[in-house]
Amino acid sequence: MAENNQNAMAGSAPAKQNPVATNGGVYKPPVERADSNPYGDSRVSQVGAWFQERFAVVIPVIDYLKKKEVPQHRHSVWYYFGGLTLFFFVVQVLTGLLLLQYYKPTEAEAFGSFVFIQQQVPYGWLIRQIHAWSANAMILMAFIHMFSTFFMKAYRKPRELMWVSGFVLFVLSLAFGFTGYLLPWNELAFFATQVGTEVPKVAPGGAFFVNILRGGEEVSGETLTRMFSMHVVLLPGILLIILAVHLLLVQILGTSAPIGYKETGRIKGYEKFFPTFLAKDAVGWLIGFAIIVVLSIISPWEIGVQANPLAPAPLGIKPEWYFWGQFLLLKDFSFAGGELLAIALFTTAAILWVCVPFLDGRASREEKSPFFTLFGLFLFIAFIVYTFRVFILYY
Amino acid sequence: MAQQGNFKSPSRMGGLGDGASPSSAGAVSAGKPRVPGLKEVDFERRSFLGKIVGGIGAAVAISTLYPVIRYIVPPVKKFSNLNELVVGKASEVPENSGKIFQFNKDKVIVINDNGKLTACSAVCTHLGCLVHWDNALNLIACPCHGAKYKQTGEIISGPQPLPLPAFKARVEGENLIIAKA
Repeated sequence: MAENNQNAMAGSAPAKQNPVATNGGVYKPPVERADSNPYGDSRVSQVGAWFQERFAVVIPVIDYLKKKEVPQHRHSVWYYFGGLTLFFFVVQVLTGLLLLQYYKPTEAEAFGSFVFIQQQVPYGWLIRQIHAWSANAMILMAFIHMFSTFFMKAYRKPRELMWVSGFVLFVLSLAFGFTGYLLPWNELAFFATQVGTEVPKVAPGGAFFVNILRGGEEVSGETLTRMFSMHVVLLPGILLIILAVHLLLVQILGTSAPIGYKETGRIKGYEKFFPTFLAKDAVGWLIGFAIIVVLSIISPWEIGVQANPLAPAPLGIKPEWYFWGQFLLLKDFSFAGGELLAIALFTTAAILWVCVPFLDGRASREEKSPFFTLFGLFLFIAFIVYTFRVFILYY
Repeated sequence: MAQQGNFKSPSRMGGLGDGASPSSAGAVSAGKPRVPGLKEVDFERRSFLGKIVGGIGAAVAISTLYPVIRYIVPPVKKFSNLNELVVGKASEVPENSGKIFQFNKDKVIVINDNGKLTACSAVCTHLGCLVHWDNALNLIACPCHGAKYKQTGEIISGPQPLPLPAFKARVEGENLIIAKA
């Protein structure tokens, strides 16, 4: 870095006379590096100093990270849900890595290895149950985080890209849920994937996409391999990049406070993100972890019956709760062209949802925007009503 | 930049102003004042080079992506195309039940309704779940989104757009045979 800066300056200053130039070689002056620990600060250990001397460039970055503060007001509780989503994602990565040690992603072996993990491997049942429960917890936390940032209008200028990246993360989470659902290779998983991958066919060009997604015309062992590769390689790779962008933006732009809170003195104070807020976050994570461990023990997910491409779909089949809205809408729209309309409706709602920061000009001017609150409320209530209807119909 | 000593006419590079890096330029005796603007740079030649690089880049990208896309699109599975096939024993479908068999590339449900054998596709025309024979209601039902069909595959109710395509089923000796309709 320092070398480049010197070059930029060199045009206006006389070039240095140097000993090598007379011999015709190219001369670069040695780079001057700052002393990593000029005052002999006793808080820096020897190892720390060793790294600082070589990697001094991160010191300002760490100082910068320390500056982040979180506003305190009566809606501060919602600030914990982004961190909780991240925590459950980390749980997913770790338990997923553990499951990978025994899982075999082939048509012949998938169900067997899944049962083996559940019944033979010590604590295999626990790892699988935590993976399944934490997946649901992660999506629930993402839902809460998304709707709370929506209603607090945290998406408004300058945080538009935080909203967009967050929405992409949310869609990726649903894709994780969908691809992971097939991996146990039981009947429920088989038909959930059958229906889920059949839906895009009604859109133009959908059949080609479905063919690629399934690895053939029908859901088969090829589909299992493709879902597996997406679940453990493609989606985590994309998610980590978007997540880095999302977290970097949070760091750069800071935590948003609701509209008008600063002006009307409703902010009681600011607490340092590091370490105060993070410590509180960690308490939330421990509580969340305890809850999913308890759920894993008292309410385990079923093993089911091995998928059989020649068996009828099991009675009372339904998708995971986060797809219930789509599921019931598909069921409700039983007229001709109903599926296409349902898909068009969802796509339009999703596009509107992701574009909200760009449409809501009033919020960006720090004015209240009740129309968008109503829009969010409408989607939220529709989601709750549909979810509840499925609950009544199937339980 | 270190290559610039090899240029035939180094004076041309001088026009780049602060783009050229004097500290690595070898025997420069004194600093060069900054030249405002880039009047000596041949923009026509530069944009031509840009097009060449872009064109080569596009050619490399396309010739790399083409096999990748062809690779991802699954090869078409080959199925037999028989007019009829012995799929199993007649005893596999006892009275008042239905069972699904693979016939060529189709999944066909054979229904035994009080000894009367019928066959139709088992793939629901709504979203592709496999249907089952509901003996109590005497109809074919799909558990996924509630489609209902008659024993012959015609629509009774539900979200499905089309009836189930028909097949023929018969028993010869002990063998159960499915045939094209």
